[in-house]
Amino acid sequence: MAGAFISEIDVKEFRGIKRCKEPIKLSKFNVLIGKNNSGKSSLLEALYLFPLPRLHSTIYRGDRINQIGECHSGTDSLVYGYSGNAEMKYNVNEYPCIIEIMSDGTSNSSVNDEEVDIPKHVSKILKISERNIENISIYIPNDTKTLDRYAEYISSIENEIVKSGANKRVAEFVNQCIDEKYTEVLWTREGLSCRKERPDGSPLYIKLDDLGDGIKRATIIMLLLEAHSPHIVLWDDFESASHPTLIRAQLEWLSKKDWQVVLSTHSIDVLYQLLDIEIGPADLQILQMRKLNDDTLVYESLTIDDLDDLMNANADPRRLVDALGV
Amino acid sequence: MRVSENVGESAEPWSFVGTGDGTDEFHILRAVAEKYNGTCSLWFPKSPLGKKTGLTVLDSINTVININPKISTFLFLIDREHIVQGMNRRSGDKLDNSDIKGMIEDRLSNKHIKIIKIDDNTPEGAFIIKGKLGSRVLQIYVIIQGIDLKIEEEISKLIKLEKDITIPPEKEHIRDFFKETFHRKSIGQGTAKLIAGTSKNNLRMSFPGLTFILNVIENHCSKNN
Repeated sequence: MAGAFISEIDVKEFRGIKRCKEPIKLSKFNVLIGKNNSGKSSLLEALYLFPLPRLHSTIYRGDRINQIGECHSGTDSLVYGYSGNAEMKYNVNEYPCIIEIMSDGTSNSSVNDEEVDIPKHVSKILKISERNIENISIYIPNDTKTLDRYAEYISSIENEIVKSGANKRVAEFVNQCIDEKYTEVLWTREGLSCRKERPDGSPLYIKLDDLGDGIKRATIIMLLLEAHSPHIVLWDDFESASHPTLIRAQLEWLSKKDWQVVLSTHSIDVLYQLLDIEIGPADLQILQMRKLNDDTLVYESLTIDDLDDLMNANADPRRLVDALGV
Repeated sequence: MRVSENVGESAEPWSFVGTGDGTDEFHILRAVAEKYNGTCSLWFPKSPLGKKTGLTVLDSINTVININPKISTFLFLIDREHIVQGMNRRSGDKLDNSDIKGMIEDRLSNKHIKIIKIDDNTPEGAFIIKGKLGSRVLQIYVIIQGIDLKIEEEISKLIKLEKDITIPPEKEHIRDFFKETFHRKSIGQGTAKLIAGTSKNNLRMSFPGLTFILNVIENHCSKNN
């Protein structure tokens, strides 16, 4: 996939966002920064609802709109002020697509202002089969319930994962970030485990639940993404429970794959590590986001060179969002 | 004069502060600025990482303006040793104002900032530059810290003036002094505590560049309000 899959999004009356001051342009690799409640997670959720809020997610075992609703107080919380309609406009391969969500949880989708058979239309636009539409995007929120569901799901596709070798690749990846050496991730009677070899060559299986949160999270997410290769990866609070070594390794891994990435972070480590990741300057942007008093979302895009300049002046890019729209 | 890590939404004008020398400068600048009146505030969104850089700090001007075009005043604090580093100079050679002036001009013009005027009537290590980026007029203040090399020399001088104790201008000696005197090892916080009880005159003698520039900013703000 060359460039961005979703190149632009505009959001109106969705979650805490009243409107966007201007449509948000996306690159292939996007990092969202901003204070708490500045709209980062809402933007990721809005992207996840493309192309159909009612699209079933096999991974989560439910509709996308319900998945997002369950992260909050229900589907009515997806509409600003709990009443009326939310509207999202996406630009995908130059096609404008619109989604409307009503506070009662119903929704409409249209392409080029026409109500059409969305799965058929989207599969045509993206040149993928209708069956694969649900794998367009994977959303990784920072909550354990979703992570547990994703873990259950990857257990259900154990054979596919083992056949593809993803369990060994992920173990190799994990080894870069810890002081132990695992040979593979596999499924035992106890559930998902990591296999390591003792000095005498005998195996020892460590349950994933007994590893640190950062490694557990990384392992589940990487197995999931390796198995599905979505068009777009949406990752909230990317740095959660991660040591800078793991952050660096995950950024590198994400950047080498052929998907669009939108992740949010509060971590200076993520920004610092980005400076050393090999991504074409045109493919990477840092989006500074801020919500004004009237809940209008404003943003500014920083290039990797801008980020470098700010870091060299010992200025914290996360604090610079204060000046947006002032 | 107020130094803050966060920019407020008030109408008061804010100047952006960047540093090429880590995190101690925030505490020192805040302590010195408190001695000055003025309705301007200095916005120092300091990073926790503390990178040692030189004049590359000037490259941040364009990015900050992109984020907020209303910011037109910039203050940069750079240690002299970080300008000397990487230059083909014999040790002991001191950079004078005209050397540094040329380097600042080059750096700014690389970023398409046209220099309208550089004030000649400034002490060693202090630069007042009026520049233009597109149609925007910018006021840029650059302070090169250190008598020969680094800010520790200025701190050591202040300790001598205030306490009549000679401390070699090295981090470890200054840290030991602050640990003993204020029970803090941080150079930034220790210096700030020392500055709190210091006269403006001793400050002027220890930090000639910084105090000169803060005075200019103070006058500039009161004229504009």
